[in-house]
Amino acid sequence: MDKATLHEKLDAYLKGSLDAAEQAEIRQLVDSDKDVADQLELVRLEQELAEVMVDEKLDEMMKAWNEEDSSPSAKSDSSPKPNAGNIPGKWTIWGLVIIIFAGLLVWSWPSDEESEALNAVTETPSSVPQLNETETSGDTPKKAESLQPPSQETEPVPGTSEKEPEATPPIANAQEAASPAVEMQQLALAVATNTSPTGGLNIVRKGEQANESPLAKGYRLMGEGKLDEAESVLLTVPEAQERRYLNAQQYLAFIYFEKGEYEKAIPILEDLTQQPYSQQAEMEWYLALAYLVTENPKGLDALKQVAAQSASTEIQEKAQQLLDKINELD
Amino acid sequence: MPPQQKQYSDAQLLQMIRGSEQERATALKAFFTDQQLRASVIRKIQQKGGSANDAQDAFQEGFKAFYRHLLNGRFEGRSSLRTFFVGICIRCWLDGLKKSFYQRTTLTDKEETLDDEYQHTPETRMMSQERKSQLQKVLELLGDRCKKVIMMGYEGYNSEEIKQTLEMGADEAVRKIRYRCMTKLKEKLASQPTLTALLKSLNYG
Repeated sequence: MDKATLHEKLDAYLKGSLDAAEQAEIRQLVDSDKDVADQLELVRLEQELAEVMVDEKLDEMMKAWNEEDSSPSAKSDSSPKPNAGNIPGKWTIWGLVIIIFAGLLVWSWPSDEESEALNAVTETPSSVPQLNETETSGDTPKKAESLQPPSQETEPVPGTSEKEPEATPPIANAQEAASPAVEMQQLALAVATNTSPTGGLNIVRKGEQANESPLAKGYRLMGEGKLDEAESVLLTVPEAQERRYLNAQQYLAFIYFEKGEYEKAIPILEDLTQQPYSQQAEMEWYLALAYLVTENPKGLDALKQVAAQSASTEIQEKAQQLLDKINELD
Repeated sequence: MPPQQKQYSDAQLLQMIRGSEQERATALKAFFTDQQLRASVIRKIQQKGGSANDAQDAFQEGFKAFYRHLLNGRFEGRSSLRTFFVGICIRCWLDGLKKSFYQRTTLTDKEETLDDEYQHTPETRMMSQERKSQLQKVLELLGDRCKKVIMMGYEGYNSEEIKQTLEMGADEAVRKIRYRCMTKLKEKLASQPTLTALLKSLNYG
């Protein structure tokens, strides 16, 4: 075996991609031959160097994606939106912003006397320290701080059932102004993230039970926080078992919602909220949130309906709080 | 509103990550910019007592570790890719806790561990910043061509793809170039006492 081939084999050996026999053969070579052992060290160094280069490449990519997310073109999508009939259109919003801005400008425009005073101030050397801009710039990828939204915009409304620690909604570069429509989605995401449909379940029998039906097992796993396992089990409940099937579907919707897979939760919740089924109030609330998070045009109407008509006063309040915050954006 | 993100299945993402540079970038971007996935990581880490900032850091570190694991064939399909990713981020956060990387986190008496759901997530080694900067010094000794060959090899591109990207002659063997690059690097490192010391500090030689 020439040295270049050995080098390649050692690389595969370190990655564990050789079959058992070859792996043992190389191990023996490394143990018995000092040169091979040295070469193995060199291959290990090569892998670490490659890792550093790949990390650097990913850092650059992440930085670019963060910047892309925060660029004006990413924020102002001019394509027609299906929910244009439900919320004020983009142009209406921008029109309002311009009117308000113009109003503020006129209102704050200095009078002749004020102008003179201002001129006097600007002629004197400023003693006010300048903002240290270097604190917010840099070549390193954007870290957590730069991804945090302003707190007053994202204060989450408490969710249903068990409250989780307040999660900050993920907004890239929220320090820059986001459009009201984006903020509406982010507000909903903040609430949805803090809403745990599967939290607080009372699991009487913990651990695997004898003769446990798929539905019972799925419910237990869900309560134990094993959402992927619960999902797999609940998917096996046959449609023929009508009520059990509906129950399993409801749990699946809760799991999908919990996992942030809102698109999957929506059709199930839509179906179940059309039937006389338990936990209607909760499901309507989750559905409204899921719509808003996924920018579904039905979102705002669904939220208004929950705020106005939910059978649960607690949920009504939460929906109203979210609606108030959304209205503030306008 | 931000444009709707295209949704890919796990199989599609895995295929793309083994594909061309463009396909890989698309797949990785789909993961990194998935706001729901990010929210999921933040929620899980916060449930365990971490701060949102810690979770954001863990998300970025986890993203890099995730790609490395995929390249090294550590994803065995025992969970969805999303679950695998979340598990890696939690591991990064837990490792960071042990190394006190995250100063803002309030540590409790109870040591946090990985939930059963993520037990099959592979161990994630986090390279210290110090080690990384030392390795960056070593990297400066390599030429651009060597760097590219080594990186593409690590990323799992085959010899033909590497040859094509680097416009290499048909008679050139990638494995020979890699070997020569590393041998020359070793010679350079051995010729300078400071670099030899550097190598020793990295536990080589």
